[in-house]
Order: sequence, then structure tokens, then C-alpha cells
Amino acid sequence: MRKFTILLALMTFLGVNSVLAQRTINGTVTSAEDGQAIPGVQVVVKGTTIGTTTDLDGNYNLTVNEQAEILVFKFVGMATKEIEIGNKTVINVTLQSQVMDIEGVVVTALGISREKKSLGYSVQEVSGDDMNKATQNDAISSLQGRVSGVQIRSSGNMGGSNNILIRGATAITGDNQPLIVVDGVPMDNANYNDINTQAGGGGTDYGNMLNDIDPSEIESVSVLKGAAAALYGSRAANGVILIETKKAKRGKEAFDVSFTSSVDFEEKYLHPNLQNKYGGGAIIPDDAGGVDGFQTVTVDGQTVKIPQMQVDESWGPRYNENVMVAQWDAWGPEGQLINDPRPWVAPENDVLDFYNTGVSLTNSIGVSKTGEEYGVRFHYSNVSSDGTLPGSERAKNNFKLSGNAMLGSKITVNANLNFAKTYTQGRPEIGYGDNSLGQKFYQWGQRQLDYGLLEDYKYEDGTQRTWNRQGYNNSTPQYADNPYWIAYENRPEDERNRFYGNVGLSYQILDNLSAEGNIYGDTYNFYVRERVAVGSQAQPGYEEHVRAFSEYNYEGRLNYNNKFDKVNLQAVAGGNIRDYRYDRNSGYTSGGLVVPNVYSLTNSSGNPIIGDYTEEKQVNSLFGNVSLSYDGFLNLDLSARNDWSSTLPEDENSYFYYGASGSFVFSDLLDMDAMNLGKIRAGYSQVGNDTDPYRVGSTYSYNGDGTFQDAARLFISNQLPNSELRPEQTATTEFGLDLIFFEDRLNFSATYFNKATTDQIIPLEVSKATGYATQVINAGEMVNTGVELTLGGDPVRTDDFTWRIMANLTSTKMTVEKLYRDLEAIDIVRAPFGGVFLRASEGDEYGQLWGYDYITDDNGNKVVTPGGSYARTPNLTPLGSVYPDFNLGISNNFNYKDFDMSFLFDIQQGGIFYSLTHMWGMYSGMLEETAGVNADGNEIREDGVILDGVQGDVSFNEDGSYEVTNTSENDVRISGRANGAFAYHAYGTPSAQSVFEANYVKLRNFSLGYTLDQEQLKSQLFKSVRISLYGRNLFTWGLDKEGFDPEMTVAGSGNIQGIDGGLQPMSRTYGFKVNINL
Amino acid sequence: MKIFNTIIVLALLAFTACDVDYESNPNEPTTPPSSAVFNHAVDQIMTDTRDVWFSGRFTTVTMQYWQQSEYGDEDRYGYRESMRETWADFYYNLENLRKVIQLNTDEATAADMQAYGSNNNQIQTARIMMAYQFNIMADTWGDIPYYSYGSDNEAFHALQMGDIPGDEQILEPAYATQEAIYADILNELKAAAESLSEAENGFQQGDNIYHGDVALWKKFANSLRLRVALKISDVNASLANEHIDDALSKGVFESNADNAGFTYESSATNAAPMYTSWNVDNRSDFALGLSFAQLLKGENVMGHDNSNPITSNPFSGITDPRIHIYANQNSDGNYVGMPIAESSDEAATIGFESLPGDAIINTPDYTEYLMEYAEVEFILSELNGWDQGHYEAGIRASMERWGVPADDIDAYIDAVPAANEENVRTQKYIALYLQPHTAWQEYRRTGYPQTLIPPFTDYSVTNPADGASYNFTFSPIPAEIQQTQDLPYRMKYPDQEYTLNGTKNKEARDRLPNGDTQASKLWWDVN
Repeated sequence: MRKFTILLALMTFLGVNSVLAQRTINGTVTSAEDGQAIPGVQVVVKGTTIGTTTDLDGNYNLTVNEQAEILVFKFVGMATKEIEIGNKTVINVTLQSQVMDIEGVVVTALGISREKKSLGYSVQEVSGDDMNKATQNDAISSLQGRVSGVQIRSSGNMGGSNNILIRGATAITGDNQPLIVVDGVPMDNANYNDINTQAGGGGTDYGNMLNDIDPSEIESVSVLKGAAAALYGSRAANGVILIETKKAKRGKEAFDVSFTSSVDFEEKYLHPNLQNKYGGGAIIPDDAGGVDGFQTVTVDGQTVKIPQMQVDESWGPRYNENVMVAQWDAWGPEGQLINDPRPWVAPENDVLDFYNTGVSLTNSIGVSKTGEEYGVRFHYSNVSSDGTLPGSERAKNNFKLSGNAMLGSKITVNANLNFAKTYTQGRPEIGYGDNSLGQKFYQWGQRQLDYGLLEDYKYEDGTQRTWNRQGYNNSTPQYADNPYWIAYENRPEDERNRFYGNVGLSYQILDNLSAEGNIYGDTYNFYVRERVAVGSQAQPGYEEHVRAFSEYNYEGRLNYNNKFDKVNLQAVAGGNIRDYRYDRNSGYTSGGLVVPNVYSLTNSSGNPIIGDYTEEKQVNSLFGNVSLSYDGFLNLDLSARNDWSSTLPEDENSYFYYGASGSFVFSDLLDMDAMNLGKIRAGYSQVGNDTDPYRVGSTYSYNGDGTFQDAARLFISNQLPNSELRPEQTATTEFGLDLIFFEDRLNFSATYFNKATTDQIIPLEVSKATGYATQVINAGEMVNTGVELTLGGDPVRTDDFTWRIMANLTSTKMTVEKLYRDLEAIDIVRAPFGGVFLRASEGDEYGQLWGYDYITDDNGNKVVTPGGSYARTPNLTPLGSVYPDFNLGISNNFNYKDFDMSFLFDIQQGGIFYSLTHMWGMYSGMLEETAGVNADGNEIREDGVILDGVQGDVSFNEDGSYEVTNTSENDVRISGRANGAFAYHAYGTPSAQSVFEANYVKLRNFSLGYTLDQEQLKSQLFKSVRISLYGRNLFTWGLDKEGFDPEMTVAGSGNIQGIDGGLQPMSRTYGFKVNINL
Repeated sequence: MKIFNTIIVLALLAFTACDVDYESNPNEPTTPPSSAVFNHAVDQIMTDTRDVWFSGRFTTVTMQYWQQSEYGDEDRYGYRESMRETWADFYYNLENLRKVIQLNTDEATAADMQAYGSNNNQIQTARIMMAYQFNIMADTWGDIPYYSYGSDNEAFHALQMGDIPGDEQILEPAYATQEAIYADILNELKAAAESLSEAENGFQQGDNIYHGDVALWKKFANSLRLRVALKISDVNASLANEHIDDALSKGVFESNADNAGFTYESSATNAAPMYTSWNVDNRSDFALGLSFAQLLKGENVMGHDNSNPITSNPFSGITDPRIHIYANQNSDGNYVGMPIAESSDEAATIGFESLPGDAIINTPDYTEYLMEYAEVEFILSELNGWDQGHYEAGIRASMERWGVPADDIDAYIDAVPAANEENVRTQKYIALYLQPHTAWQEYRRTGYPQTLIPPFTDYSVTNPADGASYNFTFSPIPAEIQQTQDLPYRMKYPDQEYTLNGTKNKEARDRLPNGDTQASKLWWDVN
């Protein structure tokens, strides 16, 4: 609340303005070409938001105050015109059509602005305004569905990971993430989730480092693919995302202040369906001493029924409100009965009740001041969130100060300084881990647990009170801690302090020649602290990781622009030195904690364990770019770059690469009224890439557990380096067509690309009998082909109402053409428990999940074993790629008078994922299907089930293929319990049972806004006020498996995708926002 | 002036064009102390072979010493895929041992390595540990890719990647036959023992088995050679006898002081694997197995009607005093074995099982043995026609090493029936507690002990505290061995070998009598 008070105070302070005299101006706007009136032309008082639009007859009527000096007339496809008002009360205007402006100007590599029309490659730009209509958590995930050729997967966890692929993955291993450049600064977007975490083996998702940047300050984002990116060198092999933040541009006297304030609410809504008929444990038969399926114990002369509290499965007795059971909460620490037995019924408060409604407050202020020779902008934003997980919170503060100034007539200086501070507490553990709530809620557990009762998670003496006791008389946790204990006692925290920005100077040597020098810096410290409290199931402990990162780029370049008759020349040449350093210090307690609740390495029972690591890298580069344009319709772009990298062997550390692209604007030669732009384009680029540091020479690693019996321990790393490494190469060819019709009522852009990466530097997995897990080699070829389509326009454009629609389609096919010698597959990762492997296999689409498939007969019927469960292939077989067939984003913007509404659908089709949650949830009797009914309408747990399929004889051939003969309809009844447990692959059943298609349709963003301008506000203080309602990820449809969202599998930003090891429910967010401009 | 500026800029560019040097790794050495590599490799071998997976959930439960108290899939031979992947760790250990040898042979480093022991003795010690590791692997899988320091057999393809030029590397190693592997293991042990020189230093540090005592390493090599030779005696008696005679003439273990044991630290970080499981990971997954408990108690496992014994305890009516150390009493003060359950639910209904002894699970600086003197005595008894003296010496050695009081030892030896095949082999099984992999090898070679509960058996377990009896049926899980009423004969190859080394792996699979299943007998398993 305090923030609002400050806001109000500021408003009052700034609001001491007198009301000035007003007057009315009117006129008509016509086209210069045909003299026709133009409806819908924007008429605005320059430097303000005061304005109107022309009516159907091209007339307008505008009330302005005395200070108004200039009117601006804007219309898409026409040259903007500015008219001085002076003493005029009637201003009639004719506008010239200007095709060039339809596409406008975009920022390309190295921050060079180019006319989009002249480009020989596809660049797509997204405006910050569009992205920020709904308040965004992070800049990357808000691009979902907005750019063709870009696929983004977001985990949805608080501050969690994003995986971005531009034109698919290029490298078989590695992370394949694009270079992200913010105001010219190449930014680190590392993801420190370890392989175990990414593969679903358990761990905390600390997200991407670039979650630091402030989405609200983004002016525009443009995405460079293929040839466009070549100028950035090595790191551009996966494309480039250029982010420009809001700037104060010099040139006019102005002072702007804007406030934004929003509050939003996050709630968990989508999760696997759980059964609601049976409780935990197993049913104890009468002949084994069971009563109503329960064991009994006698305490203090009282005989009570108890559930199997030490078991974390849900195959127990059916709910019956007449059966009273001394459940976990009835027992004291030593087995004393402290509460009465309760009815054996479904819980009043179930899994989703465990989660809170998350609340986020976002407030920001931006102040810009500009003059003829300078511009300065300050921006501060604060995000304070309470997460959905009890006890979780996040605070994010971003400060920015940027400015530019002319020092005399030839020298310009600019600087851009940012500080970001992010603190997060209580991120959820994901995957198959001790503290993973997904594992506790869906994979292993007891269904009758009431989360309201669990909330009281400690006994009076402070020890843990969990349902999963070792016995009624032993409160020690068996496998599972109480989820509230996990949330409140074992929560991790992390903190990042980041400085980034640039300082630059440019000097105009000649009229058309300038020199500039820039230093770009990005540096942060990242602290992670993880704890296991005394009294947890696992050994108590504390660990701390401190990572320090810095990268500085020193760049100098010459810019030359000239026009010779009809030929326009733009040239850039320069050099760059990149210095990179990364340090990590880690410490772990050992043997427990001396004193509870003190989380310090020195509180370790045994000697704390330490680890440290340092990495350095330097890359020197020379680059150049020449753009030639003949009369605007024939364009050619050539770029070249050479890098020298310290990560490669000295005689192989230099690599050269280049790009060429051209375009032909055929609409310039045609005289078609309907077509405003018609362009064909083609591009080719070759980008070299180096590798991670220290992959050339062989070294010995220290055992992380220190010395043993007072002697050192070292070992040869199981990744064999290679002294003969060469840089890898990515070659991209692309062709495209851009069309604009009817003054942008309809636009269309299509690109086809082929991207081949050869000589990949990969840690090739080899037979472990070599003594090594992997060897770093140059091998393999991956070919990506794809189509990017954008179709959009303004189907309706009237005085009061406009509708703008845009659809982006991305379809990329990645094929592993060749691996190495006669190797058929490389493991990227093994899913926990090994039933499924993520692989690159030769001839297949990249990112294949290999698992044990069903066996089917010639008619496609699944074969059932004599035991009554599905038969499986004897060997792992490819089940499909984790990458989708296509992604489609459809955005709609409506403006009606002062109202605006927008929404974005994000659609994914194809691709598969593997769900360990499904596998264990079936095994342990947690999921809904384990308590379904059979074809006769009887409970499968009581009557068993006959699976759909056939009985038959299967004979296998050498190559793993098989024939099924002698088939008959399956008639083998299997018990419900055995059917559930048979989902577990180790029993020889198909892991394909837990593989699903990764389809979805999501309503990503929705916003509904109302804008009041100065006139409506009747205030000199406010230029405009916008209030809006918004939502993110509001609905999901079209899932292959209800409740299992494929985005739940995202646990990192690298190539390890498509494996769920323990998922968190998905959230939806809705909120309210106010933007104020002064 | 303008030109001057241009020159400055061009000079700046020329400067950036400078080449960069290769940045070498500041975190790690290129030449470590060989003793440190040996220390790590041996520690890993011990931990990999004795942890809760490769030992606990594999041979310890298979041999019914222990059973899992909640989730007993592996007790019923349903071994997880991940357990087979210990294969990879074994080869990493072997590569580290090869590196120890290389550091001591490479001219560039050998002289420096003398500081940690003589080059020769370091090499020989590493060879012995390689033989130990390979023997366990061959016993587990059968044919495997193999490496030999002393042999130039071209069929030995393992460990041909490190330090080898690219075009000579073998990335897909062929599998050597068991016949060739065991013959070479015997040769390696023989050659290493012969080459060890007591005139030179052993490892000056990092040897946590014999602390550089060269004479003891010789005895261990010879004793181990007995174990390996005896194993193949049914299929190649002449080779076996040649090595047995030679090993005995060169000197084997003569007392518990010669035992090859590996002692962990008392710190939680470097504590023994079972201590770590119970006290660091807080997992109490195992309890004493029913058949082993009955054997130690001098009782039999009973059938469903509780009057019909289904095992035949040769030491019926005699309580083995080692039970007090091997196991802890349950809360009622009894020793009760955990059944091999029909299902995990049934296992969970049992709440009165005895845990393994504190000396094993609650002792961080526990000693895991690679081989004990007792085994040598039992071997000698077997070689000498079930010799009574060696039999008794074996029992005594085992009991002494476990700290059984002398009076109890004497009383027990007085009570047990005389040496014969069954008695010697069953005593050997009791003595091989916590060396379950060797016990499994012995079971496959000999069919003893006969006190194990066979698959598909109906049996009951009784809680002595209240006399309540519970019925179970032992139903093994994997289809491939459901038909044999026997223990698994081997472990399947890891899945990775199918994809990463498919062709060569297939050659090996094709040589197996029942393919790559747990039902394929190994070469030496002919009984």
C-alpha cells in the first residue's frame, strides 16, 4: 500500500498546473494520388497523446490547448506529415502513399537499423506494448506464439526455465540456445540446472539467468535467424534475439513520466486426475488378520484399525464412512493415541488445496527527459510475489539509467547501465526427488490424506509430524516428509545481483564515415542455498553455491554510408574482443547439522565439502558487412567474420564464416494498386562455432568427497578430450516471399530454410568398455528444414473499430543425417529408472524417445500376454520425437473507441513426452484410471479388467521385428492392482504406456483495456490513463492425456526435453493493471 | 587530422586481430600422484561392488542373506535396468587402474611417480586390482570386453581409447570369451605376484588395503587365484590345478591378519556404503532374510501348514553365535527373517523382522572384505577331500574375524557335524556374509547352500513373540527365468551396450545358451 501513497504524492506534486485556454481545429485529409478522402487517419498533437481519427469522409475535429504547436497526420502506407498549427483553425492535408514505410525499419545484427524492405532474410519484430498488455513474468516466455520459426517451452514454475529454439536445434548435444542481446550487450542466459534435474531425476529449477531483465521496459524484440545472424559469429549459430529497451531519444524537448501498477493472482488448476475411491496402503485380507481390510493394534486396551502408514501407495481399502480408522493424525510421537479414529473417507482438502493463490504486485516508474542534444531515461520496477507454494516468495528489482548526448558536433556518447536484483525463496523441487511435491502428490502417496490436517506439520517438541510414519509407534518419516514440512523447512533460496550495460563513443570522421567504440559488460553473482532441516527424512544438511559470471566485449568499428546515383552503400567493419570468466564455489555440510535451524557450512557435523571451478575464454574477432541497394528494389548483403577462440587447439583456433543475402522487390516494377509490397528473397550463411573451455587436453579431476584415509583422490574424467578438435559449421540456406496488400489489410510472409550442421563438436557417447563415457569429437550431421509462415492484417478498419490479426506458423523438421562411423544412436539422456531414453538416432528425427513399445498384430491390435498385460518389444525402439510437428500462434487485437482487447492462442501439434508421474502414479494406485470401471461396469479393483487387445503367438526376428500369429480376442482377466503395477516397465511391459503426444491449445494471453486520454480526463496532468484486466495461460485444451501438460516436462533450457520426472500442477494467472502517463 | 583518426581506428582493429592462446584448465592437474589415482580407483571398486544396489539389491537379496523390507522386486529377481549400468562404473575404475600403470610406465612421468612407491610395485598392485574387478564382472555377465596388461591377445579390446591416436581407438570393443578372460586373470595374478618385489617400496600412500605391504599383496594375488581357479575347475581342470598348485606353493592367506579388507572412514562423507544408506540417506530398506535367519538359528523354513520343513539345515538345532553380530534382535528380542514376499504389500504387513547388525549398518568405519582367510581354508578343505582340519579352521577364522567370543567358537565347532561337501559349502556360505557376490558364484558352481527358498515355493514365517504365522509364495518376477526353479545365472547386459556397441554385443549374446537373459548359464556353471 505504501507504494500507492508515494504514487499519489508524486501526482499531487507534479499536478500544479494551470488550466490553459483551448481551441478547436478541423479539416479534411485526402490522398495525394487520387484526391479521395482517407478515413481513419490519426491526427495527434505532437509530443502528446491528444488526438483523434478522421471519419468516413476524411474529416476530423480536434480540441487542442494553447501549448499545442504541431499536428501529426499518420496513416499506414502513407508518409507521415507534420503541420505547424500557428493560428490556423482549419488544416486540410494531403498524404502521399509511401510503401517503404509499410514494412518500416528494423534493428538487425550489431544494432544496425535497416529498412525491412531491403533485407534478404526474414526478421520478425514484436513490440513491447503487445507483449506487455498482460503483465509478464519474464521476457522470453512472453514471446511464445508471437514469432514464426521460434519455439519456446516454459516450465511455468516460479522463475523457471525456458527452452528457446530458433529453427530447431543445431547441435546434437549442448543447449542450442540463441544469443540474446539487450541494447547491444550480449547477455548470459545460462541455465545451471544439472543433468539430473533436467532429466526428471529431481532438483530445483533455478530458471534462466535472463529472467533478470525487466519485461516492462522492452521497446521491441527482433529475432534474427540464419543469414541475419552470421555477423554475430559463433554464438549466432542458434539465432539471435535482439531486445531493445525504451530510450530517451534526443532531438526534441520533452519530459515524460509513466507509472504502471498491476496486481495479479495465480492459481493452480491443471493437474493429473487422481482417484477418489480408495485410501492408502494395501488391503489386509481377513486370513492375514485384517479387519475391514485394515491391520489392528491394541494400545492401552483399545483395539483400533490402522492404515499402512509406512507405505506410500494407494491400494488400500475402499472409502467407507462407517469404518473408523486411527489414521496418521491419531498418533503421537511414540505411539500414544492422541486423537480419535476418523471415518475412512476421501479428503475434504485435496492436493490443489495445498497450494495458495499466488499474488504478485508489479510497480514501475519511468522518467525520460530529452533535449536537442541529449536524452536521459530512468526506470525502476519492482515485482513482489507470494507464490502458490506455501512459503514461497520472489522479489525482483530492476533499475536502469540510460542516456546519450552530443559532445560538440561530431562526438556522441551513450551509456546504458542496469542493475537487477532478484531474490527467490521456496522454489519447488521438480522431478523425482526427496523434496519433490509432484512425486509426493501423484507418484507415491495415500489418497485419503487431508491437506488441511497435514498443515499442522510439527509436534509440540518441534519434531516432524508426517503421515508416512515408520509405524504407528514410530513417527520417524519412512519415505515422505510432510509436504508442509518440505515447503516451510526445506525450502531453497537464491539471489542474483546483476550489473550490465554499455558505454560507447562515436565520432563522425567524415559526413559519411564514422568510427565508434563500445564496451559491453554483463556481470552477476548468483547465490543458491539449499537446506534439509533436522528431522527430515533425508540427512539434514546445507549447501551453498556461489557463481560469479562476467563477460566484457570490447568493440571498435567503422561505419560508412554513401549513395552513388541509384546505388546505396552501407558498410561496417570492425573488431571485437570477448572476455569471459565464470567461477563457482560450492560448499556442502556432511554428516548432518550440529545445531538445528542454523544454515551455515560451519554448522556441519563432519568436515564440510568444498568444490570450486574457474573457466575462462577469450574470442577475438574481425568482422565486416556491406549492404548494396540498387534503386531500392535490388538488394545485396554480404557479411564476413573471423574468430580466434581460446577453446580450440592453437593450430585450429581460427575460423572464418560469411553470409550473403539478396532481395528483389518485384512490386516496384509492377503497377498494382492492390499490392503494396511484393518481395522475394534468398540468403545463405555459414557460421562456425567453437566449444566449451577445456575440451582439448586431458586432466584429472579431484574426488568431490575430498581425501580418503588422509590421502588424495584423483581420477581421469570419463569424458575424453580431444587435441584434434576443429570448429563446427552450420550452413543455412533460406528463401522467402513477402507480400503486402490493400494498405496492410492483408500481409503474408513465407520462409523456407535448410540448415545443416556438420563437424559437430559433441561428447560422443561410446561403449563404457572403452573406459570412458564420452569422447569429444567432430562428428555428425544434422539437417533442419522448415517453413515459417506469417499471415496477418487488419480485416476491419473503421473509425471506431479495428481488428488486427496475426498468425505465426512454425514447422521444423530436424533429421539426424549421420552420427559417427556405424553408430546408430547417441544417448542424450536416460529417463529416471531407464524405461525410456532420449536419443539422437541416425536417420530419425532428432530428439527421439526410445522405449519399449507395444506389440501389435497386423490389424494394429495390441498383443496381450498370457498374464493379461500388454506385451512389449524386447528392445528399445524409437517411439517418436519430443519436438512438435508445428507450432501456431494466433494473436488478435481489437480496438473499439477507447477499448482494446487482445488475446493470443498458442497451439502445438505433435511431438511426444514420457511421464514418470504416469508410470508411478499407475503403479502406486494414485491415478484415476487405477480405480476405474471395467467393460461390465464393475470396479476394476474388485472385478479386474480385460485389456483391449488380442492374445497371440509372437515370434521375433534377429533385427527385433516380429510376427504375430494365431490371434484371438484377449479374454485374460487381470486384477486391478496387477494392471496398475504392470505400468512399471521393469516387469516387462511397454514403457510406451506412459508416453503421450505433446499437443495443446492454450489461451496464453488475454487483455481488456480502457484508455482515457487527456481530453477525457479533463486534466493537464495526465496525458493518458489505461486500465486493464489481463490473464496468462488461462485455459488449456487438446491434451493427449487429461491433466498432463507437456510443458510440465520442461526442467531446463537445454536439449534434455520431453521427460517428466515429477511434475507440478500448471497455473493460470489473472490480474488488473493501471498505466499512467504524465 | 581525419587521416590521423582513421589510423588510430585501424590500429585498434589490427590489435584485435591478434591470435589467442589455448586456455588450459586451471582447475585440474595433467599429472596427478599415481597413489591418488589408485586410492580413488580402489575406493570406487569397493563402493560400486558393495553399495545398496550392486550388492544390496542384487546379490545380497538374491542369496537371501537379506531381503528388502518394503519394496522387494529385486528379491524376486526383478533387477532394475539401472543396476546393470554399474558396468560403466566398473570400466571407469579399470581405466583409472590402467592410468596408474601408465603413469608408472610413461617415461615422462615414471620418475616422478617413484615418490609414491616403486614403479614396478605400483604396476603390479594395479594389475591385481584389475584382476579382482574383471573377475566380478565376468562372473556377473559372462563374456565382456577385456583388457590385459600382460597379454597381447588381440581379442582383448577394452580400454583402447585413452592416450591412443584417433584412428587406432576401439570405440566398439569386441567381447572376449570367458575362457580367455579367466585364463588371463589367472595369468595376471600369477605374473603380478611374481613381479612384486619386497625389496622395493609398495604404495607409500593411497593403498587402503595393505598400506604398501608387498608381501601381503602377493598373498592376496595367490589367494584370489585360488578362488578363480577353483571356479573353472569343472570346465578346465588342468589349468585350474596348475594355478592352484602354483598359488599354494607361492603362499596364500595364513591367518585373518592376511585378509584383504578395505576400511572406510569414520566421517559421514567417506563412511561405508551400508552405514551411508541407513544413516546418511536414512533408508532402512533391508532386513535379515528368512532362510538365512533360519539357517543361523538351526531351524528350517516351514511350508504353509507350518509342520513341513522345506529347507534342509545341515546345522539343525545349533544356533550360530555369529547371528548376534550378523543381525540385531527385533523389538521383541527375537531374530526373525524377512520373507521373500509375494508382493510389496505383503512385505509391508511384516513389522517384526530383524535388521542387519549394528556392526554392519551403524559402523561408519566398517571394513568391507575382498577376500578372507576363512574362504582359503574352506577351499583347502574342498581341495583335500572335505578335510576336517581346514573346515574347522575356516569356521574359526570366520568367527574370529567377526569377533565371536572364543568359548562360543569352541562350543560351536564341537557341535557342528563333520566336514562333508554340504557342511563345508554351507559354512562357506555363512562365512561369505557381506561378500554375497562370491557366495552367488559359489552357488552357481556348486548348488550350495541348499537352505535357500527356491522360487515358486509356499512357505510361512512365524513371529515368535505371539506365534502368529503368515503364509507366502515366492513368485519371481521376470518372465525369462520364471520357468527355472533356480536362482538367476547371470545379469543381463546393460541396455547401453545394445545401442553403443550393438554389433559386438550381439556376438556375445549369440554365444549365450539362452540369449541375454538371467537364464543363460555361464561357461563354468556346468553343474
